Amino acid sequence: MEVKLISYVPSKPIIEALEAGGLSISPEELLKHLSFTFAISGLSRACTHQLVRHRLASYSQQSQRYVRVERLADEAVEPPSIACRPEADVFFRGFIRASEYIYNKLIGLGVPEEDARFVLPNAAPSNIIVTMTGSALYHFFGLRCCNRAQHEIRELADRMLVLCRRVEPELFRKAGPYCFQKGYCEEGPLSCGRVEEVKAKYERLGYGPDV
Amino acid sequence: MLRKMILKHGSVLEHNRLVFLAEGSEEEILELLLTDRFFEVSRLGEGKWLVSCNLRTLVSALADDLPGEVREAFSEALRTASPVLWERVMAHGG
Repeated sequence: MEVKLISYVPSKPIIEALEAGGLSISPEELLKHLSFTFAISGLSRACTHQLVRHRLASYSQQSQRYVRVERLADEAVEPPSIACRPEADVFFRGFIRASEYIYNKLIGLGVPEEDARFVLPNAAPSNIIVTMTGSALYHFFGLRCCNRAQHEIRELADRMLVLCRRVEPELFRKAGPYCFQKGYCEEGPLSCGRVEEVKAKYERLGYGPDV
Repeated sequence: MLRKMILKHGSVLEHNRLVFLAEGSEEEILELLLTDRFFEVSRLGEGKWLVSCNLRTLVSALADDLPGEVREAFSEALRTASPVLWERVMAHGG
């Protein structure tokens, strides 16, 4: 997975313009007016399905109707829970190779890409451009930095948070999973039970030289 | 990566944000909000507002019957952000 912050609306010019007119705005209100655009590549189709459920955002995703999937066996995203189990890994890789073979065979038989893609797995890699406002990102981080989120989207959320903290360190100081934002876990019996550990992680993520 | 992507549809217009400092009454701001639900508005003080939107919202609002000053500000913002798009929008009567 590769994540880049390709553009954003910085807070400084807005705050300066407001101050010049004797006006001010709270950080929470200001976040609604700032947008951040990320280019993400090498994400599984399973993960982009989770990502696009965040509706207060804009997406431009690589099409499988018009863009032919190439090198599926090399670029498929394999979950660590499969990769670490040799027998499961053999099944997974065998299925991916079969999927790639049949996909290419269907295209060779004249089936258009938009229909041949029906045999592609959720592990197929995808590229997507995402734009969210600062307040939408807070909600996204609240849900997806959580230990209850799936590993791939949690890694994505962590990387996006680091990039946000690099350009707007103060505005994103309180961003992170909801236990970090609110001081308590909302997951009830499903809680990971590691609230203090999580809080310690998100107090320093993106601020130290270790990132 | 962009070369690999098909961007024929309008979603590419949403990957940006324009921020305006506006003066107006609550009624005028409400009228603006009713033209497109994707405007974000913050009250800064008596009659002063911070308004923001993306290019898709801006283009959509320009197709509506906006008050003269608002239309002028939006048109100028669009002309600066995307002269090509501005020409096309104006060619269709704004």
